[in-house]
This record gives sequence, C-alpha cells and structure tokens, in this order.
Amino acid sequence: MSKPFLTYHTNENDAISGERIVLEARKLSKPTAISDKTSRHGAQRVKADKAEAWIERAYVAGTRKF
Amino acid sequence: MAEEQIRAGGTPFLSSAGTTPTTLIEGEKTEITRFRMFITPEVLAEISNLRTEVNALKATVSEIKTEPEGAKRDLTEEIRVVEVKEMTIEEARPLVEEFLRKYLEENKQVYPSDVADELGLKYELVKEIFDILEKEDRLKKRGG
Repeated sequence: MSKPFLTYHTNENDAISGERIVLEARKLSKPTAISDKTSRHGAQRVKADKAEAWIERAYVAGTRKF
Repeated sequence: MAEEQIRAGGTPFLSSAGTTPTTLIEGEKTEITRFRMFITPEVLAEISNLRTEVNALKATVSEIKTEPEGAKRDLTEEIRVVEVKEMTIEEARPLVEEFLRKYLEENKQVYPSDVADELGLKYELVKEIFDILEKEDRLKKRGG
C-alpha cells in the first residue's frame, strides 16, 4: 500500500494533523462519538487496522484556464 | 355489550331513544344523543374486522414514521465500492481536466481524493496529474 509521495512515520505516538486526512485501511471501525463535559464540540473516532493516512491539501483554480 | 344482547336473544337495538349511545368505533364523537340502530351479528363481525385492520394500519404508519432514521443510518453504514480503473497519465488526464472544469464551476476547492473517488482512478495517478496541473498554473494549493 506504500505510496512514493508520502513520508512514513511508523513510531508509536507519531501524529499527523490536518484539515483533511485520507485514510486507507484493511479494516475500519464504525465511528465512535467522543464527548466530555468540557468539550464544546464533539468529535468522532475510528480505528483502522493495517492502515496508512496522509494529509491532503485542497486545490483551487490556477491562473490558467483548462 | 350489544353483541352479547343479540346472542342472548335480547333486543336487537343497540341503543334506545333518549339514552347515551355506546361507542363501538373510536374516533370523532358527535353531539347526537338520539338514534336507533339495528346491528346484526354480521355487522358486528365486520366492525370487529375493521377494528383489527385499523390497528394493523396504525402499526404500519408508526413503522413508516420511524423508517427514515433507520434508512439514514443504513446509508451512512453503507460502503461505496469504487472500482479502480487502470489508466496511464495520458489517458486519465483529459478525464481529470474535464471533471475539474465542471467541479470548479460549482465548488471553490477540490481535493485529489474527491477526484479519485468520483472517477474511479488510483489516488497516486490523480495526485500526479494534480502536480502537473499545478506546475502548469491550472491549479494551485489553497493558501499556498
């Protein structure tokens, strides 16, 4: 599943953070809603087995038209 | 009560003039206080059947009312299968450009994963095409 354009971090506690993360995995859990008394915004968590994930940037139209 | 009266050979009248009529069918109550009604056992059986049917319909309506939530849950749990097509950059590029032309008319930004999923192309291939289009100034990274 390795992709040549990615930089792999494989140690425990290595983290990535981004507006959008693409995740590919052999097995994906159903999302779990996470909330506590202090958090204003809820979050969801999924567990992925045999997985790789990467940060994706959004693209906008450039100066030249298609 | 009326059925028992009829079975016992009593008066076939459900209600006599001047008395409060017995409600056999639940629903809208009227202000009528005087009426005479002859009910045969067949009619009573029909009423009983109708009551059963109404209850069954009520149960169905209740099920239908709760169904949209269930359907929504099923949809979110459903996995969309994308069959990835094997293509070269030369073959895929016109498809990606055509997709982007339309997509960027309606959307301000686009992610490579959106294109890969929509067109059923390998992510690496789409990313490579995005890199080429970025070099050609047709695309640029947002905020970059």
